[in-house]
Amino acid sequence: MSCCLLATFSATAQLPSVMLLSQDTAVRSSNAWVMASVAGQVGSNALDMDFMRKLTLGGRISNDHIDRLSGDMLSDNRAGYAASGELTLMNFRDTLFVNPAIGLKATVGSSYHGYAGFSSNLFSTIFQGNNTAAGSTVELGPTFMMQQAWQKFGLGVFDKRTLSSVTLSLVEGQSYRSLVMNSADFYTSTFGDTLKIAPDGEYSRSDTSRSGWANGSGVGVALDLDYNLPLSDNNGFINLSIRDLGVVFWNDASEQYTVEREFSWTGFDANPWLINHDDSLVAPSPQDSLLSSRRQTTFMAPLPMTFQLRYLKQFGKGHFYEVGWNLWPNRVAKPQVFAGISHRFSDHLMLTARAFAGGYSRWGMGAEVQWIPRGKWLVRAGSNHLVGLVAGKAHGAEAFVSIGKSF
Amino acid sequence: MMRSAIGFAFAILCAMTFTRCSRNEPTVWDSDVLVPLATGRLTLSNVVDDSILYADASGLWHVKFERELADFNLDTIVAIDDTTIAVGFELPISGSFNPGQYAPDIVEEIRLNLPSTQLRHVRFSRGTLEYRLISAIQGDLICNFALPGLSRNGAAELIRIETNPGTAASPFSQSGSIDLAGYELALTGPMNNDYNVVETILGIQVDPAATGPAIVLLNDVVQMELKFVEPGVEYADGYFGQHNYTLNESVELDASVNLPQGTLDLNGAVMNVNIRNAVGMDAQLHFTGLRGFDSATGNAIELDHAPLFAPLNIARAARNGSTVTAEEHQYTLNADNSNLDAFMEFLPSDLTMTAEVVLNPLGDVSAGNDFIFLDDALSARVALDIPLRIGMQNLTFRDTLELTNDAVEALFNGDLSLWLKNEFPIGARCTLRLLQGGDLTTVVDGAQIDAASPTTSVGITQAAESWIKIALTPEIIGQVNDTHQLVIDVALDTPGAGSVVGIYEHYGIDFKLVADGTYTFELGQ
Repeated sequence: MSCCLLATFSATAQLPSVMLLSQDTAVRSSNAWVMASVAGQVGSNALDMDFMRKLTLGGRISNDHIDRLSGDMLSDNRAGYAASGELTLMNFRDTLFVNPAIGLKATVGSSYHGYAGFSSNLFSTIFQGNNTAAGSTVELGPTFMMQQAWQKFGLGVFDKRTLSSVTLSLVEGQSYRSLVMNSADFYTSTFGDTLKIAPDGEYSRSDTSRSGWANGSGVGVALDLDYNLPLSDNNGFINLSIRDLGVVFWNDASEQYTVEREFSWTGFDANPWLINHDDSLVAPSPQDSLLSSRRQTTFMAPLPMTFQLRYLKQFGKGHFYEVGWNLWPNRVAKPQVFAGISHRFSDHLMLTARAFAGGYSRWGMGAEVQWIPRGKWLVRAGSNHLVGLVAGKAHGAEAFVSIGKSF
Repeated sequence: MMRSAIGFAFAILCAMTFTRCSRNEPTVWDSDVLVPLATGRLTLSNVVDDSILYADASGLWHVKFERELADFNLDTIVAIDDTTIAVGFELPISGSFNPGQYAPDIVEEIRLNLPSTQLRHVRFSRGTLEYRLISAIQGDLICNFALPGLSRNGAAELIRIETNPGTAASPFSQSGSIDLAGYELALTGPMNNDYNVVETILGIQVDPAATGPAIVLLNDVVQMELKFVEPGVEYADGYFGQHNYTLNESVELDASVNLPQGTLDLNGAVMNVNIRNAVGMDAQLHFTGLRGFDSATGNAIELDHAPLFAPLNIARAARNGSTVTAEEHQYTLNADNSNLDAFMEFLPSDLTMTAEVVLNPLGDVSAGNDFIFLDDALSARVALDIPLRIGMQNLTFRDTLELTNDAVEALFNGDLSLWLKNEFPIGARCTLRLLQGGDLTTVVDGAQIDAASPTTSVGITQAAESWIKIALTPEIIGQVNDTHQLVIDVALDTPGAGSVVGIYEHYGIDFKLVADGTYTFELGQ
């Protein structure tokens, strides 16, 4: 039996190009390939890595740091993250549908994706305070936030010659949260004795009583497509990749809220304490006050799909260039374009330098190494946002590692 | 080969599952906030106990205050001390007595030692009657010990004890007790014409069911011991005797009211002194002094009202069954007939009353029919009513708060701003100080709360707004953590020296507390 176990990450969604370009027949004639990958990326056009690291992992964010970020912000800003791990099994030896070029593949993986689109007013109100806005109303919207986690269990077929594939997956939704705040007027009175917020938006979340992988909060389907088209002179290829084209139906313990009620805060009501000498001051719940309607219901939400188009062509001995386009079709991410230059030292080793612009961050540069030692292993490691791994002022970071082995 | 591939995949999957990032510390940042903390409305009824405050028909607040001026200690007059009674006999004969055979009843009349009173009946509120029967007779006996005068709900008390054989060297003994609460004791003897007498009857029978005769030796003893332990009387009748004594009673006023220091101008105060005699016994009271005392300064002032200090003969109460009609006498003191205004403006912390008391000054004129219910006997009660139409000059209240909270983390650095809208025609200066080892650190120094301005309409004022800033720096918070007392001084003034203002029910102080400064947020703590 010939099989290959692969894992790929959505940000580097396509198959390793070295596999597509390799003339070593051992790659495709082996009995089994096992490959696993983990990867993660985070990016923002407004927040730097130092800020995002402290926000998520802890640490003191200095006022100077906040002031610098706030000063550089646009009116609309974005931040996002994606992480995944995936195993893919590709069976080279078996023949499907009476066609020796078609093989069977199976995948299992876990993915996490989240983003936030926010105004500079929201950022400064949270991190710099409302003091400077005394006596005025600040528009905190629009604000969009989404976070989704899911696991996939897929079966598919692939072309043993081009490694093009189609995979249909059962999706186990782990968690989902979505906030769409079209506007949110935030008022601070001149003397600070009244705060008022008038939001207009919707909030959805999955069953909060469940946690962990494949917890049954949601179920859905997803389609993954890799189409690799070799160029006519066999000196390159065009690759089209669509990942996570699907939906999740979140269970009937999920909740949807309309957020449109005005909430005013004038401080704790001290009168019960004064009259009854009750020593407990109870604050009204902003959540209860703001959420004007709540529905516990099942709902459907799309998976955060990834679309990638890449054109790769040889332009000299061992030299390749590539250009491409990545797209996360959501409210926040910008289309991302990239270009890169690769050098293939041998049939088993390839280095790539790549630059991109867009996505959740601004722009970045990175490098990638792909190595197939002895035709039995595949090692792929790199980053499209290399600087952010070490520099706190960068606006994004990314890393991916793939390890494969043929059997 | 396939098994190897799956094993490799499983190992990688496990590594991915158990690898995750974790937060090691909270995310911390400082934010310049302007946030309302509290809001409310302070009225006089919020800070003064409802039991001493009421509003009249016009809405004017009155302070009312009632206290017992004296305890006349009448319970001591009819008290019965702990008393032990032994009832029994030594048998002057010897012999054998068959089952069922009776001995003659032993009837005893024991006179209680009550030298100054002649009690006929009492009802106990508490106490215990302990008893013990001792028998040296060698046989089974049935001893019935009756107290015809001791009854509860009309049933006389009978103690029945069945003995076993005893000897002079090792007598039979059995003990028991009766809770006296609710019991009545007639002390009139068998002929119902005596006083202070407890009648007992001891009956002895050889147990009819005994298997053999009771053997009595010469001088064998059968004895019942009774002991009244801490008896408390709630009712008594008889003749209580004539008593003369002097009262010197003090009442602490500032135990319930935080009396201020300074100059206070009260108008219209009324004091009622009510003397009430619900005892079936004549009394003569002669108040010899009612003095206010300021424990802070040591100064004193005498209340001046001549009728109060004249001897008062107050007749006995009348009784019809259980219904008692008390005799009452009331003195009403006001600014016109006494120095009450000055007395109250003196702001005494204690009242001291001295009086000469004579009970039954004419002797036993009731022919032994005095009565007393101890829960409602002879009382002297003072009721004070002060309409809050007052003038104040630097009238200072001081309170010391014990700070018992756990250590407060200094997450805030800035000002607490207190906005006040005062409808009271009273201004105030506030000082807050932290007490640390005898040293006072000032937090707020003489912050001024402006008085509302009176208008031409009675009870209507033009409210005044004031701001008080309280610096809440980490140093202050640190001192709050180190110390445990906050001293609050409030000095009150009414506008215009010598004039008085009315304090009405609808007056209040609206307040808002705002935090203005840097707050340290901690996310993921």
